[in-house]
Amino acid sequence: MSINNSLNNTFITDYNGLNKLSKNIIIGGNFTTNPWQRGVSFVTPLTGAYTADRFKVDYVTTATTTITQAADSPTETQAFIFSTQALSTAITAADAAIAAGDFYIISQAIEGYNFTNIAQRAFTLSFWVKSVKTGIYCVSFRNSGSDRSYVAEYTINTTNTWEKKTITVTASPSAGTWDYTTGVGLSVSFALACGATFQTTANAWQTGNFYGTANQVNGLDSNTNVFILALIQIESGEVATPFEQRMEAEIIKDCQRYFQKTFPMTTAPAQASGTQLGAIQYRAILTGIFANGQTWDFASIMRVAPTITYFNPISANTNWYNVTLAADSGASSSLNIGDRAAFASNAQVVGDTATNNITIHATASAEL
Amino acid sequence: MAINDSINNAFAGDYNAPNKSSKNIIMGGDFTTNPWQRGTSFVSPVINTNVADRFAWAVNGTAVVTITKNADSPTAAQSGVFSTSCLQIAVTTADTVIAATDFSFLRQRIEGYDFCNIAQRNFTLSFWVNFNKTGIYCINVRNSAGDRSFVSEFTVNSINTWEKKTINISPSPTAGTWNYTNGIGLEVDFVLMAGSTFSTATLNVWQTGNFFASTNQVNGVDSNTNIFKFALIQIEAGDKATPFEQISAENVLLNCQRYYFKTFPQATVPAQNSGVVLGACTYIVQLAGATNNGQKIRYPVRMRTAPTTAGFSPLSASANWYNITRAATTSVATTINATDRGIYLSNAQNAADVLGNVYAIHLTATAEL
Repeated sequence: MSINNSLNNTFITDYNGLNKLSKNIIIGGNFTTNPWQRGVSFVTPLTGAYTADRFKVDYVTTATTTITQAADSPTETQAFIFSTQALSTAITAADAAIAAGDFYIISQAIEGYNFTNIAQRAFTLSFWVKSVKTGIYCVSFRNSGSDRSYVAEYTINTTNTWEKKTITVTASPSAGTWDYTTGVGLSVSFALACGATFQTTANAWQTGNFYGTANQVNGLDSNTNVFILALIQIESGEVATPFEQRMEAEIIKDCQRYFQKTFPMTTAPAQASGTQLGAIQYRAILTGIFANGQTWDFASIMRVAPTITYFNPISANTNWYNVTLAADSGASSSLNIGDRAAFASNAQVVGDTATNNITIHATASAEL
Repeated sequence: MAINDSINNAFAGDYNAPNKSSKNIIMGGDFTTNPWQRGTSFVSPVINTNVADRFAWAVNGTAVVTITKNADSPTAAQSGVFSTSCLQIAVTTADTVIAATDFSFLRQRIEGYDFCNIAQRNFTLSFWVNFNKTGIYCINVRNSAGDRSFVSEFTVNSINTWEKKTINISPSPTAGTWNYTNGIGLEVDFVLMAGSTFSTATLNVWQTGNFFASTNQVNGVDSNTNIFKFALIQIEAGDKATPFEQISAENVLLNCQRYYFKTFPQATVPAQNSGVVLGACTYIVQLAGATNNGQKIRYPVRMRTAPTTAGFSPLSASANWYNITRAATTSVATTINATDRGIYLSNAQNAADVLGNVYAIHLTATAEL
C-alpha cells in the first residue's frame, strides 16, 4: 500500500485519451456498423438531411448529390480493421462556379457532454478518404455558437485510392459560445466546396464560422466526382490510434439517443412501407370515434424530448392503420412527449370496432 | 497542428491493450456527466439520502449540510480532463462535540458484480478535493457486512485549492462476508468526521471490524463555514492512478439507471405537482367510471432488483393519478407485476371519469444499494 498525495498526475502524458470506455467521440464513424436507421440511399437529400446515423449534409449550391452506403472500404491490411462499407457522396449535377455564399459539407454534431472528453485540450481526427478528384480539401471544427472555428487542410494525392488522413487540433479556446451539456458541443465538417464567405486561415482557432480555406478544391465541379469517407475517429491527444471497434449493440444504443424508429432496423422509415413489424399497436376497446393509443417507450433516454413523426404502414399517410379491417384508422398525434417515452394517440374513426388490431410506425428525432 | 497523411498506421502494436471496457468502477464520478437525476441541490439531507446519482450522504450527529452540484472543478491542465462541475458539501450547522457514534461522510456502494473487477487484487482510488479546511482526512472501503475495513488517510495541504489524492489499496481478503452478486460489493466512504466507535489507529491494512476513519481525522463539520468539494472520483484495478476515464453521458446515465429511474425529463427534479407531464405514464380512458385501467412502464435497463416505486401526480400535490382532461386528482396508483424490467401502473379511476379522458402519473423506481 502506498499513498501519493500529488497535485500533479504524472501519467497524463503517457495515458492521455487511451483509457476510455469509448475513445472515439464520433458516433457511427465506421459505416459498416453504423446502423443507417434512415436508409442506405439518399437521392438529392435536402440541406440539413441526415443520412448515415449522426451524419448530415448541409449545402448552398446548385449541385445535387446522391449519398449512399457504399460497399467499399480500406482493406484490413491498410486500416488494421476489417470493414466493408463507406459513406459515398456522388455528384449528380455539377456546380462549376462556387459563389461566395456556396458550400457543401458533410458533418457530425457532437453533443456537449461528449465534447468534454476533448474540450480545451489537443485532439486528433483521423479518417480514410477516397475521391475521384484530387487536391486540397478541408475539415472544420465549430462550436455551438458558430463563433469559433478551426479549419485544417488535407491533400488527396491519388484519384480513387484510399488514403488515411490525420489532423491534430490544438486545444479549443474557452472564449466563444460553447455548450458542454446537451447542445452542440462541436460540429465536425468535411467540405467538398466552400465559397469565400466561409473561408479562413488554416490551423488555428478563428473567431467566426468557417468551413474551409481558399485552397479548398471544388469537389462539386463534375457529375463524375465521388467522395467517399470511412473510419472517422476523433480522440483526445496528439496521436491517431487505431480505429476503435465497438459492439454493434453499443453503437445502436449511442445512435438511439438521437434517433429511434419502430421499424425493423433494416427498413427505412416511410409511409406505406408494407411492414407492420415492430409497429406501435393496440386492440380497440371501444367502437367508433374514441381516442385511444399506446405508449412508445424509447429504447434509451433521448438527448431531449424528441420530435415524433408517424407513418401509416400500409397507406401513404400519417394515419393509424386498422389491420383487422384493412383500412385506415384515425389521425395520429402524441401526448406527453418526454425524453423517455411518448403516448401515441389515435382519434379512431367510424368503422373501428372493439378488438380491432390498430397499428402505426413512428420515428423520434432528437438530433443536434 | 500537424497533419500526417500516412496510409499505414504504425501504432497498432503499441495501443492494442488499452482499448478495453470501463476501467472505473465508480459510477458518475465525474459530476459534470453524472446525471443528478434526483436534483442538483439537497438541503439538510438526512442519513442515506441519495444526492448525485450513486452517491449518498451518511450522517449521525448534529451536523447539517447542503449538498449541491457546483460549477467548479480542476482545470483540464491539472487533471488532463475537461470538466465543469463538482459535488459540494457545505456545512450549515456545525457539530463541534463529536460523540463516539457520530459520523459524516459521502459514500458510494459498488455492486458485487462490479466489485469483482477489483476483488482480491490491488486497486487504486484517485480523486480531487478542494476543501477550505486543511488537515488529515480519511477514506475507507468496507464490505457488505461491515466486518472488514480498510482505512487510509490523505492530507489536504492548502485551502480552496484543487489537489489530487491517490490511494493504493491491497487485495481484499477472502475472509469476511462479501457479496459478489447484486448486493453491496464494496462501500467507499469519504469521511468528514467520525467518532471513536468508528475510528482506528491501524491504517492501510484490511482489518476485522467496521471502521470509517483514523484517530487523526479532523472534524470537518466543526464550523458552518466549512465547504468540501469532490471531483473526478475513480477506482481502478492495479497500482497506478491513470487519468480519469471519461465515458459518454448516455452510458453514465444507463449505468445509473440500473439503480434509479424516473419518468420525468432528465432536467426535471422528481416532485409532486411539478407542472411537467412530459414523459409521464399516460393512457386514455376506454371504460368510464370507477373501473380499473392503467398503463405499463418499461425501464430502459434491467434494474438491480425489482425497485421500490413512488408515484407523483404531475399537476397536484399528490402521489395519485391525475386526470388531465378533468383537472382532477383521483386514485392512488397500484402496481401490478412489478419486476426489474418494468411495471404496470393501475388506476381504479373515478366515477366522474368519462371516455377519452387523459390520465397521467410520474414514477420513480429505486433499486439503490
